[in-house]
Amino acid sequence: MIGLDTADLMVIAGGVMDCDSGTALAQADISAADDALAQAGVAGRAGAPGEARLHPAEAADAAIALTDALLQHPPFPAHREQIAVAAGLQFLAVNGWQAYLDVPGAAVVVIERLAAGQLTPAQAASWLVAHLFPDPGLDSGPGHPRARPPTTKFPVTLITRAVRRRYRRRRYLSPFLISIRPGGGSITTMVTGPLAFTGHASKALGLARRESSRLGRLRGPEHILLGLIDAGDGLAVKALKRLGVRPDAVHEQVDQLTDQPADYPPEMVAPQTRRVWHAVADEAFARGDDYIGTEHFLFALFCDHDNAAAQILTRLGAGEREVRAAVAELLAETGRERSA
Amino acid sequence: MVLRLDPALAERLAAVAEVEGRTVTDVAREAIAALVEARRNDKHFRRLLEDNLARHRRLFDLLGEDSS
Repeated sequence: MIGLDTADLMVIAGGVMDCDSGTALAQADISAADDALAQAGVAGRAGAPGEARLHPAEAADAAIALTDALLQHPPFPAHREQIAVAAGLQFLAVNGWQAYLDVPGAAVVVIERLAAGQLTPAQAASWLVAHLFPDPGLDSGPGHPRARPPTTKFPVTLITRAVRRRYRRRRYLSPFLISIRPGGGSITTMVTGPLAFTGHASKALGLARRESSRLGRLRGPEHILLGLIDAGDGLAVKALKRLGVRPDAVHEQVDQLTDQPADYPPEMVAPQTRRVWHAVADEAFARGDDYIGTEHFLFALFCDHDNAAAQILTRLGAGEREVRAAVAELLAETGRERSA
Repeated sequence: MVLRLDPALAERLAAVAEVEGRTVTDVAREAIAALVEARRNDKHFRRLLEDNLARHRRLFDLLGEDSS
């Protein structure tokens, strides 16, 4: 294992704060950095010659331990979470792993819950390991562990294998989407088993299918948005109402979309929709929820800011930040703070 | 500044500080600064850092919004 030292943290902090490392050093609480590195057990730089790349579970455990320690002992309190995350990612990188956190909103929730003690380091590491991929450029740098040829495997294949290995070892697994069965009322993951949809979420999905059929278009995130709106009484629609989003305004904007030719078979799903589905499971797990509600779909629509649903909501004054805040308020008011 | 040092190293650091008429903190900070400078010149480390910061730009923006 290649660890990090105080000097590394200063360089990382300089990158995050967009300043010279010397300036970062002048602002640093060195003793906090020292405490964090000692607590995480990753201090020191040298890896053993010829040492193999860390197992992904070990890499995730160590990266989260470092992130958690820097959250508890922040050398730069004003940038606590950013530097803790950057250090964790850098630790992974120097050890030959890349983290693909393609649902940043869910990653933020994981970090916030870890910082608040609502998520244990083991749980956070379990989430992280499902997002790790070998760095194809591993052999390009000096002092790195054993090089491996760049992989040509599709990332999902790599995740599946990693999860299966852990499954065989009877270790706690990260949620990994292996099949999506909206018709059956659940998302199946290898880890948690079926995550049941709430009644409103099921209804919204049925309405989304109906809307895409009516419009004769690929089933896109905008149809999921219409489904959420038309479902009437879910948490998502309550949050949107609180933000002043009128259902007819959403319908009007979706109807005006002309970037797709009409007359697609109604069962065809747009690529952006598949990303939303993956993000839904990530959002639920990040919050420790054992169900899929309309709020998870609403958050997941922002996994890709280029999709029509995210753009429509943002234009109507309900951007990702506003939506998350509105849902958190509603959950707090109804006594479901844990999910917020 | 509080640093955990082994006794021998702490003794040497104190000796250097005394000889140079400076505080131990100054000497320690200067040593760390020299190390930081060396690390800053590690191109591979910097490339990995820049890649990470660029790839996760949106995540860092969201975290920055939360802390502001």
